[in-house]
Amino acid sequence: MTEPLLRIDQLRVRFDTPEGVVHAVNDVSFQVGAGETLAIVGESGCGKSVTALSILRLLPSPPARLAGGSIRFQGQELTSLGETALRQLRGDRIGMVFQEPMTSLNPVLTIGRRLTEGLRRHHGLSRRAARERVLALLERVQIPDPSRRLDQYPHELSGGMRQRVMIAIAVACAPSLLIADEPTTALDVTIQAQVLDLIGELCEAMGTAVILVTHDLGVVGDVADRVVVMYAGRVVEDAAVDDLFSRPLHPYTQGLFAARPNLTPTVAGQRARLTEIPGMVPSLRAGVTGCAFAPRCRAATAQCRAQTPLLRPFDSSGHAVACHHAGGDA
Amino acid sequence: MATASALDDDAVTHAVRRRPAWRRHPTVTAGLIILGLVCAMAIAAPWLASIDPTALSTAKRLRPPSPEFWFGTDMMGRDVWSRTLYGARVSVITGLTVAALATGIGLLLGLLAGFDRTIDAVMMRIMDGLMAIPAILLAIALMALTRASLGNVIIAIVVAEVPRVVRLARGIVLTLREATFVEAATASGTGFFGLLFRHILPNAVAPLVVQSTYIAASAMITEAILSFIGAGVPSSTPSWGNMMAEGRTVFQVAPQLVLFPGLCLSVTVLAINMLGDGLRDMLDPRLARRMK
Repeated sequence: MTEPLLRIDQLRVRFDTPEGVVHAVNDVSFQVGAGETLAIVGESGCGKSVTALSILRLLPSPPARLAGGSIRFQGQELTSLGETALRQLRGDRIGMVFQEPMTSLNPVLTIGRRLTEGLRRHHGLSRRAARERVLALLERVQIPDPSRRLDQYPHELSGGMRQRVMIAIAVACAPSLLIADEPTTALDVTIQAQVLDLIGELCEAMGTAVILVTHDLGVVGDVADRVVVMYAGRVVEDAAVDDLFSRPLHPYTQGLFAARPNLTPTVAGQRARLTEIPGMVPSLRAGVTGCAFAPRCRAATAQCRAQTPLLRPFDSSGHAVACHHAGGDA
Repeated sequence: MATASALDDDAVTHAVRRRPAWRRHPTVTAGLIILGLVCAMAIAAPWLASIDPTALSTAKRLRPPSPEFWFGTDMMGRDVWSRTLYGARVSVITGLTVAALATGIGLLLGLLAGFDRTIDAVMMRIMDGLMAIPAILLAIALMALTRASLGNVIIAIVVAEVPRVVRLARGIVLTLREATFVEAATASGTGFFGLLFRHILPNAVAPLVVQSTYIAASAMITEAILSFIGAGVPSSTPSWGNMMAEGRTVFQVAPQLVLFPGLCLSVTVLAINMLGDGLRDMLDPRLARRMK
């Protein structure tokens, strides 16, 4: 079997806080193939952003600490990579889009200067050549009147426009992997779809693989090829998107699907009350024994509380789940 | 001019913005004009002063202002007008040099402290120690160790002022380091110096410029105080502080000896403070709106 573009194995991230060690990411493993779009879903604080940020080692350290595991990108181990080599990778072969378009652009730099920065550094382009490339790029991310925009400052652009600029920055050097950390969360609903389509189109055209971190299952269904569901710092389910939507195996995933707002009225013409998952997300401060979801799970047994279920293949299609009772009557 | 017509719809809302900059920020304008005059006075002192400021004339001691001696004469018969002009040189040089040096050194140290925890811990304790001593006392102590000269006065005041800049610069760096755009820049492969000089420093310029104007004003006052108590520039050099010190004994008979240099110092410091306040409003409009 050929080496996937990115392979994360048994990744562990800890945060050393004055109140104790937070086990933010526990034994997370997944892969991304070339050109594939992988979605990481889960609720706030489940470790999806931390996982995404740790790929490029962008977590502030301290308090964050890589406590184990491996991240291999194009056959290269990233966890032990030197700072200089890592810097050459960032923005060139791996691009990144952040959640907050309002604050992720430097207020004192023009769009043009920020956009050309990466091209000039990684590809050694002259100021003029970089400007030419960037103009074409802005056109591709559908920013009207790009030559005027190049000389503007971030505050002169709307949120959607800024996120387009961030996407342009991230794909400027035609990376093999784009990490998008909740790229649409801060945007207007009408803009969200446009921005997602844009990411999808650009990456398909360039053959770029995408890791899309999100908590929006609707988004996942639209754009992802495969989905990794995370809960309390662990991967609980990993499946192709169609497989996951038609047959969610983990009780948590099933809960997520049940909790999606449904706009179609029920029989009486009234909308049903939103189903919720009972209980709270466990604190990650102490290591959790047993299945982290057990306290909220209807099907939990004594085994669930005593023994942490490992991610295991469920069938030959690559559908994997971390549940003792998966496939049963859960 | 296509853009101009497109903007016409907004003409009313933008009317306020369209006023020229000097009218939108009258304090900056006024401060700059007064400071410009003081600087011109300092530079043109040899031509504006009709009489050598150090020339003694025992026959014409303590004259009141007259067409011959515009500001009168002191107890050694020296022309107060000429001395005031030359005194402006000392004040302007002190103010500008101290502001530039203190801001430069403070910025450098502040950046270091903001980026390295160990340096931060050591340096900030030293700065706390320096700040615990009142600036004037510190400057007096430093002057007591050295010979009276303009250079030493400047060094003494710089030492006293640097901690304030270090604190400010460190604070700015600590805030900006956590900013998303710095993280985003790191994610696109920007190195340490790129982050520092392209992404962090430009954001620190505005508050530092404002701070440096206050330092200039405070440096001028400190210099005058040092000279007044005889710990500043040598008494042979005319400076506003020296003149007031010499004139205070005969204050009742010849108030002009204290009045004119004192007035000049006050107006200059006022102008600098106006400039600083105005610049703060201009460079940080959000803060200005909050203060109203």
